[in-house]
Amino acid sequence: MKKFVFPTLLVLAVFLITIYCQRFTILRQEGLGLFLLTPDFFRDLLFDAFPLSNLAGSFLVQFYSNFYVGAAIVSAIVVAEYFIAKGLFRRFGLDMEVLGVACACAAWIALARAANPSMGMAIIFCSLAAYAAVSLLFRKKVEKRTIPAGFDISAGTLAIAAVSLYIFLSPFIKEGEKWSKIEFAAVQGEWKYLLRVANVKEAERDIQVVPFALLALNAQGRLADEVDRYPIMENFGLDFGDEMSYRRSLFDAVLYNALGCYNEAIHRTHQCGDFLPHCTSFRTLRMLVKENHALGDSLMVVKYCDILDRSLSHREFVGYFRNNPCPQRTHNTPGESAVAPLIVTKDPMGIMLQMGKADISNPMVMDRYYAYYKVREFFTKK
Amino acid sequence: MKRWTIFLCLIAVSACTPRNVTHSGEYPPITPDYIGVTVPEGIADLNFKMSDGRKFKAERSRQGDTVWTKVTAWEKGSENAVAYAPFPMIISKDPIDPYIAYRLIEPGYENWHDMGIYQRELASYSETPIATNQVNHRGCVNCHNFYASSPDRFLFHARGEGGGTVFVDGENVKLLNLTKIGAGKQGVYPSWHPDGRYVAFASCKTYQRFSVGDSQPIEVFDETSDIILMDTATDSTWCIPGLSEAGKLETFPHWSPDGSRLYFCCAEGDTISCEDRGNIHYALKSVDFRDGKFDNEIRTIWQSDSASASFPRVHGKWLLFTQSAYGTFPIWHREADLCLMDLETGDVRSVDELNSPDTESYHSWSTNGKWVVFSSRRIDGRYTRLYISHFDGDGHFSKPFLLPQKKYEYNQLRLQSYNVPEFVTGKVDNRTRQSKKLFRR
Repeated sequence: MKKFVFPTLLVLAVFLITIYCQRFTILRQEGLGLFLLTPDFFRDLLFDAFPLSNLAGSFLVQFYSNFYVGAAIVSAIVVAEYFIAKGLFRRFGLDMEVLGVACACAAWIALARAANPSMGMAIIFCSLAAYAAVSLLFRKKVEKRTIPAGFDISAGTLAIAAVSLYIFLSPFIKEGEKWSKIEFAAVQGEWKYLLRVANVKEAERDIQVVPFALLALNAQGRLADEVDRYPIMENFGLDFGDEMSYRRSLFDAVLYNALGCYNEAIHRTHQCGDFLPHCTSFRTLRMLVKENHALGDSLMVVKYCDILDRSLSHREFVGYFRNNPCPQRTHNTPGESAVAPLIVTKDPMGIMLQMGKADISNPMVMDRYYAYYKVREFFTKK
Repeated sequence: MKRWTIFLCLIAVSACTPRNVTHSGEYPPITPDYIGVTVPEGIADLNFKMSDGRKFKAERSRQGDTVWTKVTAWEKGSENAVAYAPFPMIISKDPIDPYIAYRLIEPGYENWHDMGIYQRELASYSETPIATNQVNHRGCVNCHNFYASSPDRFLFHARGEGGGTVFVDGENVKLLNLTKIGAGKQGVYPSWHPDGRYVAFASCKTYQRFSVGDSQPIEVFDETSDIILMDTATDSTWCIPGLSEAGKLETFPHWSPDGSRLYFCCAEGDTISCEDRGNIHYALKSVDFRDGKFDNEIRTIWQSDSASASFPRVHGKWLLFTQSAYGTFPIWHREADLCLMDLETGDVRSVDELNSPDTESYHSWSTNGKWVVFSSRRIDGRYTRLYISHFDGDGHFSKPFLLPQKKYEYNQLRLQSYNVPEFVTGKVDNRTRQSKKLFRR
């Protein structure tokens, strides 16, 4: 009976705490992950620093699209580490539950702070290698040393409680979850939810939240009216300024997709790849499918759907776009292209003007242009 | 063992083939279209699939210089199959260089996490790296150029912090920052002189702009450009009078095979803004070169008020170039096509047998001038793929064939474009590790 206490406790604690504290982190990990049954994907993995753990981590992360499954996988990794570590210490004669629990808790912390499950798999593989090495090197029976059962169980339980509390309270993990929520809401177009997370109070605490909050206001047609509620700097507020990061590229991709400037949205979505280990990810590919569908580039929709079809978790998504094909757009003549409005990526206000020239003048564009104007006036007067 | 495997495979295939077979007099609808193409002896199998996704069986037999492929196709689970008329592939006696080098790049447009110069063995599906951007901390690697298609002597650019041009000569690898020597100008589009001493570069100030809603997503143009020459014996560069003129944009230098002449493209204009782009038409020009010196006379060999030339590549009396409606970056121009000029008569024709409704752009000749490899976006309009065609030496090309892959789907699944395909006469050693040492921080 005793031997089931800690695995059960660990599974329950890890599963529940992950669901409660890291639900969106799990979804983000799936978005930034990639596992494709394609030659290029496996070749890239082969040249990675830790191919085996990356392969296992990439395989597992695709199931994170359902956060319950993701939490179950995290629990399974932590419990696996408990059993391996316990067995390892037993080889040295240390038959103590608390040692296995301590290692499992360390693995849990590492997993909670990591960007994907590859870290967990690396821990598992290292532990397995250590177990195999110890089994080969120390074949002699070692005198068994134990500690009082009561102390063993109390210490183990305390360790699990302490790590649960750490994950519950850790600012690092809270911050990760907050940004995962923001990214998720932005990509899904859940503007109300985005505004709940990126509220004024949060924006005052973390200025990086502001562009996302203003995007949500913009999508609801409230930007020009409410822009002054948020803290804005001269070169940062409605946009990310010159910062080159995944967050900025994602923001721009979502923004220009929402504005209807699909060429630029596709450009920025590809740009996200610069910050991803395989130059692309499930989320990037899904965004490319949607953007090209909106643009009317059916050949690209088919291409990205074919690629996503090489994963195990996109049947429904791919099926939707295959059943709702977009008509292939007509191509402009070279003469038309020669005078088509062009944009400078680092000039967001200029992009609005050029969008107007290209007859893309939906209410969101107008609202945003007016907000730019208002902000510029404010800083000019200042 | 091998024989047994083939036998078992045949049994498996025959077991899968439906019983009711009807015969069709037509060629099978296959992707890619390999019907009637001319291929070099020993090239890797040209694998294909049925365009409509049906299951199929292919039987190949060779008669003289022709390989006949008989395709029987059927719907999954159906008992009825169609046996199509065998289609031919012509095996040419003209040898082809065994490798093609190219850059693989994701369409990141500004920054790239993974990018590299790779080589592909034509006799197999083996693709190996020559230098990846692990060399220069994930910067850009581009503009590879081989001296006389040799795998032992070549150069490529590695941009970014501490970047420059990497020169590989046998075991020696060196890094030169062209902006810090001689003319003080950056170099692109290199062309190595056949005597091995000089390299011509264009030095361009290039911009890219994205379109808001146009079907051509990007326009790339040079605001300024000149041609510079590098002497590899002294590691010096200088501007060439007549090829770095104010009020003109000179670019795409390329030597004639005997090194006596430099071909290049040139447009009028001091600096170009994106509003003017539709009026920029590059002409083809040439200048003689002897004993390390250029002649004063620059000849215009092709010019148009409604079209622009790029990538002049000469073999014998034939000059192959890319023609687009305007500008200097044809890969984003859907109308870009390959054109062939007879340098003796000055006749120019659009090479319809190679062109498609989509973009055709960079191209190069094999060392014997019997084959041409070129890049095209005909599959999906966005990702560049490589096509090879046989040249009969008399101004005609055979139907081009897509660079074969182990499975056709690989072309669809690959998320990178092929850039700057160049034939190489042997396998190039992987220079990533050697080059990496040059970029240690």
